[in-house]
Amino acid sequence: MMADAKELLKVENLGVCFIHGTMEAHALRGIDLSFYEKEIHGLVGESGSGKTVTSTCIMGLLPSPPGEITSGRILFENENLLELSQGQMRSYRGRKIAMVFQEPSKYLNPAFKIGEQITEMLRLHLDMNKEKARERAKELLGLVGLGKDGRVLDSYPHELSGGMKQRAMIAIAISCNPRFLIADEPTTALDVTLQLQILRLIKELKDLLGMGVLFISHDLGVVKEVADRVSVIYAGRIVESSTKGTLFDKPLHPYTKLLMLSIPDAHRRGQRLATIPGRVPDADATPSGCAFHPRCPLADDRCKSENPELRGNEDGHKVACHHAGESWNI
Amino acid sequence: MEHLIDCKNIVKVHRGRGIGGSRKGFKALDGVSISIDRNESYGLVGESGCGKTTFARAIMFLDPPTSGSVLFDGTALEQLGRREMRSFRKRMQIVFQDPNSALNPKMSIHDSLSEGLINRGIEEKERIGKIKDLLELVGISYAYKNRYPHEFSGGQKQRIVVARALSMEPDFLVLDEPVSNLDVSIQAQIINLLSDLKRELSLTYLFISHDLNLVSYMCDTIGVMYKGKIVEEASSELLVSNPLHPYTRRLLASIPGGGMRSKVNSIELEEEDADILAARAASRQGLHGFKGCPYYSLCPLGDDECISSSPSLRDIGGGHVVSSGHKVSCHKA
Repeated sequence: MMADAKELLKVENLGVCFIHGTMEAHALRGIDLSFYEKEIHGLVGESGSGKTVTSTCIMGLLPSPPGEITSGRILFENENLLELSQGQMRSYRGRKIAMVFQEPSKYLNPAFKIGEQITEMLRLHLDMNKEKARERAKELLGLVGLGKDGRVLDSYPHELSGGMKQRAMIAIAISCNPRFLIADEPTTALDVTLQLQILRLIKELKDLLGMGVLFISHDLGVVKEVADRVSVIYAGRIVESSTKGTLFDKPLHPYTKLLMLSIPDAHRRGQRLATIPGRVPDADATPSGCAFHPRCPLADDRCKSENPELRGNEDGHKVACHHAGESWNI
Repeated sequence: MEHLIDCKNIVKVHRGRGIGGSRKGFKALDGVSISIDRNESYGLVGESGCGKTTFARAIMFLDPPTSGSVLFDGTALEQLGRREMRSFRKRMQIVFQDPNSALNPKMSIHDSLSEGLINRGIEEKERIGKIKDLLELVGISYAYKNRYPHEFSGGQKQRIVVARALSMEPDFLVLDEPVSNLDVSIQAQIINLLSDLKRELSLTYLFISHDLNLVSYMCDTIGVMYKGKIVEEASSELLVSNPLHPYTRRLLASIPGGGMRSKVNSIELEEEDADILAARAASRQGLHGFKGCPYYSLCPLGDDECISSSPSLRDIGGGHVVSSGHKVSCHKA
């Protein structure tokens, strides 16, 4: 992709464990992710695979207890975010690293006007006065397509439609010009036509503000639409990671391949869909060896005992599989 | 082929409450007519709030339509009494979107499945055999019969809901977003199961979804619904290869990943100008005051004709001797 792109944030060997009595659930088992400026990095996986835990760790919002970071570092601007105190983290969160959530109606405060919720950020982080913050908030609303006249500033969240609420959430997130934006399933609750608009908006803003973006989704189609680089996560490990073009043209991991084959579309009418037998393992009962082996059509004895490393080839396509690239009869 | 179910001019008005609302009401369905052939699967697509679920509930008389008629295998449903309706309804069953709320958490799945069978008056011995068959049919081991819903995963719960619907031996199954709450890898399992069951038991499906990809894979005929009206109806192949209504084209173009975009005229993809839209929305005072096309306020092709009259659903056989069955309601199609 962009060889000269600057690395912005790096997750190294991050491990997270949730402890509940004597039960230990290893939600993340050592993941590595790199994020670059002006690049959208899509993280795809099914529910329970560790997508959201990854984002809460980066935001420093992992509930502890029960959550515990067992290994790894998160490097951002030469600092390890995991070593910062809560107070130090607060100056990053919202200011330099911002987040957009799945359900805007849950994260907007229903008792405050949209304008108040945007200016709160500006006044807190950037020390703006009331008038200046309001001016800036108006600009931001224009930027996210909510009209330049600032009408929405004085609206309450319940007066806005779902798509408008998500735009307002995005306005709040980008209000302090963050370097890094986390978008956690930002379009899952929206209708398809709105979904496309929001995806385009995120792409535009990324270019405009030069942010790095972590885009979390369970939907391969959405990721294909929006991301520049894609990582696939399964049971708390990255199983495949590459630029979008390579990943969608030449997937190497059987899980990635099966996910792509299991999406119905008009061309497959009359054919059976490929299915992945069984289901995503619970984090407290991850299978030995390669976590995907009980569901994998290529699994052999080695897969049962030996966990494959995430290895990259020369063009940066990384995959964690003993049988990467092998094909099978569907 | 004969129609199994024939819905004519279904209208559903939700009466509002209070002083203003009591008179006006909200027209959730505005004269929907569709017919579904035996052993066909009909896909109903549209965005949330367009009336898909209302329609399904109306034609099953769970929430009877304000006006209109439903002819099910020769029986006019609106003429049935309450009691007759109850016993007739076993021929039509529904599978809901969220299996968590569809199953009673305090009943073991054996009890959940027995309920309908007891109502049908089936003796205990036969019932046990039936439950065993049903569970096998949907791929759940009979050994799990005494478990409770929370002990199953989402996909398994949805299988159980399907089994329960099938326990009444229906001809007609309404599937209301049956996979949208499930993980991608589980979705494919349930879709395959539904295809198998349809073939094995010669079922007729009304498949409701917002996902055009899924519906075009699964269904023979697709109806696109917008604001309580069918705006386009055609066979899956035709609808996907040659969408005529600007709304259908917009839906297809919006499918993430862009697989369908090449087929669609680029004009539908332009971001709307907020000012034009606001002006149009103002000129169009809800469904009651405005006589024009319901899609006018979002349509890139809209002009004066679209304001003055609402297009009706017409067949565009295009001069062929045999009608193509492609219907669209748009002045500009």
